[in-house]
Amino acid sequence: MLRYLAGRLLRAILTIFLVIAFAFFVLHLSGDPAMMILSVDAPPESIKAFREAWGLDRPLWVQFLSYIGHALQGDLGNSMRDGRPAAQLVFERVPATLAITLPAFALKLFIGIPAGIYAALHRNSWADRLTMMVSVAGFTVPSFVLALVLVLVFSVQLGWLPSAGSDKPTSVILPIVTLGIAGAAILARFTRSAMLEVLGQPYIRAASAKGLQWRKVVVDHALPNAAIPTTTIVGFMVGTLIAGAVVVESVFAWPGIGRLLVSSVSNRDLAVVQAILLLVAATMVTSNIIVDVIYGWLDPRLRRGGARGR
Amino acid sequence: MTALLEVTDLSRTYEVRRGSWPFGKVATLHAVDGVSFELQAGRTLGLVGESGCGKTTTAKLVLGLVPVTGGQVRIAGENLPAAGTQPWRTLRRRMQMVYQDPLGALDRRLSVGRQVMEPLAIHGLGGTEAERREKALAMMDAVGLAAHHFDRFPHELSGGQRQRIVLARALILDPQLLVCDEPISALDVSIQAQVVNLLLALQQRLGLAYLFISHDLRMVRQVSHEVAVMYLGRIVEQGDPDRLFSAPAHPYTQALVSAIPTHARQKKRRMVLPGEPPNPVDRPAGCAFHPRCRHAVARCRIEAPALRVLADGRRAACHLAEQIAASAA
Amino acid sequence: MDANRAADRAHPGKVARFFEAWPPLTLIGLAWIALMVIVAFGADLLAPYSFTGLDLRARLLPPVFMGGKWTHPLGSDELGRDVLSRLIMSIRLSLLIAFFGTLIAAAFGTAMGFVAAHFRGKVEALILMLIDFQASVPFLIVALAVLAFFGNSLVLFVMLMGLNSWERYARIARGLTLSANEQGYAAAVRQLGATNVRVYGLHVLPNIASTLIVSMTITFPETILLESGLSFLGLGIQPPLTSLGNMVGYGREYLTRAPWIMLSPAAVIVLTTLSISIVGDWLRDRLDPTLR
Repeated sequence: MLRYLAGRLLRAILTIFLVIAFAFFVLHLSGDPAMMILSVDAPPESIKAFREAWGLDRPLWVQFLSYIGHALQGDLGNSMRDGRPAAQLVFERVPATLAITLPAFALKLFIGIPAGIYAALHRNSWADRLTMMVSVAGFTVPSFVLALVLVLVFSVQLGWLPSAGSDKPTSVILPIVTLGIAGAAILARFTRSAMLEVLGQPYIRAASAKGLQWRKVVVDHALPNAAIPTTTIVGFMVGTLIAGAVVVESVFAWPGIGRLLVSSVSNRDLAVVQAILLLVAATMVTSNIIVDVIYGWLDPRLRRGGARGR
Repeated sequence: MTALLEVTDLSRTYEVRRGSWPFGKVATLHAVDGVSFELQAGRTLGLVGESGCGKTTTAKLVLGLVPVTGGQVRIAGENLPAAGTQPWRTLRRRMQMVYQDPLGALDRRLSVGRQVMEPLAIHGLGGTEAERREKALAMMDAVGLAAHHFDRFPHELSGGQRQRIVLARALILDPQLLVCDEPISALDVSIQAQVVNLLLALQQRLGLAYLFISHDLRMVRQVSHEVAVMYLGRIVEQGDPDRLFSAPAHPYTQALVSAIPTHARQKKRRMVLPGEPPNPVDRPAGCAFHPRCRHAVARCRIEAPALRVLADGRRAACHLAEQIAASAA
Repeated sequence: MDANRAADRAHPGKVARFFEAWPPLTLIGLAWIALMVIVAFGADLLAPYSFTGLDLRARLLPPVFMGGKWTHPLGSDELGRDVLSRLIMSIRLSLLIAFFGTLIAAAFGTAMGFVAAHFRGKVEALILMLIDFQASVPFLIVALAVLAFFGNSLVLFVMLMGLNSWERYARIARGLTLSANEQGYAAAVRQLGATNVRVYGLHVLPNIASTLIVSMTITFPETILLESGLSFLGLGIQPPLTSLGNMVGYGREYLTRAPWIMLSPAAVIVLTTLSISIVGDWLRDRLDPTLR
């Protein structure tokens, strides 16, 4: 088990490294940031000065190594727009994003999973069909459409909730609901199919034939087994706690990481984009590891470390 | 006369890593270790042993599907060309393989007739499309299938019929050597006999040589002119089937033979081997079999016995071969 | 009337069986997809106006069913451009992008899967790492970064869409090829002396085609959603070209005054992705070999 985790950790670090390298080289290869920031008709001397100031005139691999070196010390470079440390800029925005993604995550879990389980247990009932129809909306309706429709209904027509911004306490509601509904729908569908697959297994029939109460069969046998694949999806959702709200934040003008990413990308603010990419990769990779740990604990087949018998 | 197939000191080793990368030490797995035998045209050599003893790897080495790490394989006096090269592909016409799982070996999407025809298309033989179809039908007839099966799909045929298709496909190029890797173990018992009889009949008619690999000893005894018993990548006993099975000279062969189910009336004492088949990576020192052998003496722990010729022409790799053969007789 | 009813009673099985093989929802889905394809092909012929045609006297007209006129059946936008015409052109562009993107992803992913399964060893390890990398970071983020920095040519955008979900195809192709190679038909045919081209082209590819096609019905709507999301943010399709996503983006500012600008493209997006998902589910059931 320990070896399994160590292997996963190594892969995680490798992935993060790959992400940084990717971000760094792609962003640098694509164009000259100096010209973008200073505008095309800036005099060549100021472009040169800018490039020297930001170290853009050194060879690419030197820049890369120095970036890595600084990153390890926590210095992710400074925003080219306003000169503040990129790391600081990014971390400032994290609470705002979490303020909507965490409650949305709770919504997804506490509505999606029970709905999926209920639908699976009462297959083909009206509740099941309803859940299925709603959940299909979850992955066919893009988040911006859902957001705009909700704004149309609740802000424009009914006037109950603010349509954008973060000043009023009720501003949180629509973003959270948008994120939550979409995620809950996906989770419900997934949980339902995981449960259905487990319920169709012979050991479930055997358990109920033994005379166990159906409720016990579900709780003791079906749920734990269905939890295994569900954990993967939930893990993925945890991973997107930071990155998953890009579009929603844009629609609601919510001052979180998503909006920062969009604006930095438009402005070609290298350091900030890299910092965000790094943060996102780190989050996803961490949640993957957590999922792997939970997997290892949940799935007894993995607990033994897998005897590779011949 | 040069043997059709000559295998000398054949070896295949794998480097394995115990535990997940990058932890764990590297160890060597001797899948096949110094195997030698000869097969003449029109004869059958049976290769038996437990799962993992190296039989299938030997088959793959003989056909050139897996590269050799030591020793040689010679077909009609010539070295086996490297896999994937044009000479190797041309050699396919002389040697073919019959598989354990006929359903897996056939393409689900093509009709069986077309699959029998395919070798001709691959090698550019057999003339026009119509002539190839005729040849395929003739081949199917030779293996006992009716013409109307031509357009069927593999999953529409029974297990025995599928194996016949695999045979037809293998034989349409008119090979001299057929390597059969557990060709009947996936079939119903009632069909097994039919397929074996078919194999024997074809051998008579076409002068085929078989390398017959199986763990079913009774079947092997029936079809083989010579039998080799493998254990952990080595041949431990080799010789005439009747003598080998009635008076085994190697303790492992003894155990295998005693495990053959017999009529209730002939109550033999069944020899149960202690311990588990060891991991091929952790081969015991000296004789590979000694930890499970009830005849083992001190010498067995230290010195690996060579495969030597006994008085009656058999070969056995045991220090105490003569006594064991005598005791069983 | 009675004769019909009697006829129905005599053949109840036929109608029931027809709907069993072709569930009504699937039929609707197929019909919608067909409609979209027709629109995409015939866009130039069908659009009543040029999609950039300004008509400042007819700005922000509501659609016909909300009190407008038949001259602009779906209304007009802030520059007087006909929403219906713009919608038709957008459908064509978005569908084209999604189609080529999906095709590229499938071709690239499958090829990578084949390469990994065929060569094994270090090559396979490298490809697996790339697959992991692709799967571990949400593609929207990656796309955002690449897009803005490389600028926004249409060709580049389509290539980028082609990188969406390639790892799904690679995984499938690799897995199925591995099992075909190990003890399966691919090994058998290769053993017969076939060249690799023959093995992969005539045998492996046809066998994995149905699984790949089902994956394409999942990637296609994802690509539509990705493109419209990016275009909505202003980082995707740039004007004067119009796509479903960027119509929604422009319509957003007029949400209060003229919601129809945003609603029609949004509805098309939802209906199209829904139809493809439904048809994809049905295809998967039909093509599943274990049910055959």
